Amino acid sequence: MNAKALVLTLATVSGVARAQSTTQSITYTVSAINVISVTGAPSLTINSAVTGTGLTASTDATGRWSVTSNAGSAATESLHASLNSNMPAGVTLELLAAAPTHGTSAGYQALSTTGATVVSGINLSTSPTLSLTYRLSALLTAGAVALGSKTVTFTIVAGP
Amino acid sequence: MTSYRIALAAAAASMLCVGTVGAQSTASHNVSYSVSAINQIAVTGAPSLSITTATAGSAPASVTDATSSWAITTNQTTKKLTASLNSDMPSGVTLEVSAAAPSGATGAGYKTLSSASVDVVTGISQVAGSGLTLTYRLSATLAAGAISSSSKTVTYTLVTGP
Repeated sequence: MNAKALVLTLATVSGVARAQSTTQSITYTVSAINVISVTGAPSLTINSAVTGTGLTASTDATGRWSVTSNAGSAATESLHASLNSNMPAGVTLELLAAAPTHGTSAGYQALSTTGATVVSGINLSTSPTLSLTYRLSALLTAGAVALGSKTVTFTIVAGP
Repeated sequence: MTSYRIALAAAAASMLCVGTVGAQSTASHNVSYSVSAINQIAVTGAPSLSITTATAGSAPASVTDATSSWAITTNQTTKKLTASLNSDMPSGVTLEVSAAAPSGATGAGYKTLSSASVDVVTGISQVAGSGLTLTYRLSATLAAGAISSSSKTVTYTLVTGP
């Protein structure tokens, strides 16, 4: 009689342990991440021409940009570039930005304070070193232009 | 206790991501630029002139050669083209040149060449042009007599001037 009572007691304790459970609610988010960086200090000088024609444009491909974007294909981003002030009359500064794996370069785009889309369709990209190629051209009527500098601002914006 | 730690870590990670996005979606760098003063000219051709005839009763007939041309690119204003010879022509022999002008400039017509510079095109300003004809004219007086084949070097210079 006593032995049977002991077995029953142990079974009851074991049953209580299996039934002990709890739940936890974990809140999580992954934000829309669109991070870019730019390196380089491009410098361009026009100092030659093919005699009888216009001035020979100068290019500089030492700039680099990097991007990380987790935007899905349904919400692509674009890279927008603009100057802090417009170029002198007759002088044009253009930019060719290489595109990440998921993106499309717009080719050479003239830069101004209005800005231009230089890469579109950016999504799901992690590209560390993409080239930035600048091209400087000038009309004869621009004359000689003293050394100057412009700040190019790159911005990731929502858009196709 | 355990659930509290997990929730705290998740919240911290979430805050970190939000802060990074806001800080780096814009980037910038400086671009330097300049345009030099450019004054380039070129001349092509190897002109040859021989006086071989005369109308009886008149001086020997002058001859011309228009096989040469010049080209220019300048982004400067108030320029002119001058021409000179490495040495003067023999006595009684005259070599002239007439240079076609690029757009906006003025040709001086036939100008006698010598070791002293002479203006052949004036009023050149911020222009590019090519295939601009150079016409040479050779004339000689009777007193010059016959002259064996010789050559001169014509130097063209783009200088500042009206």
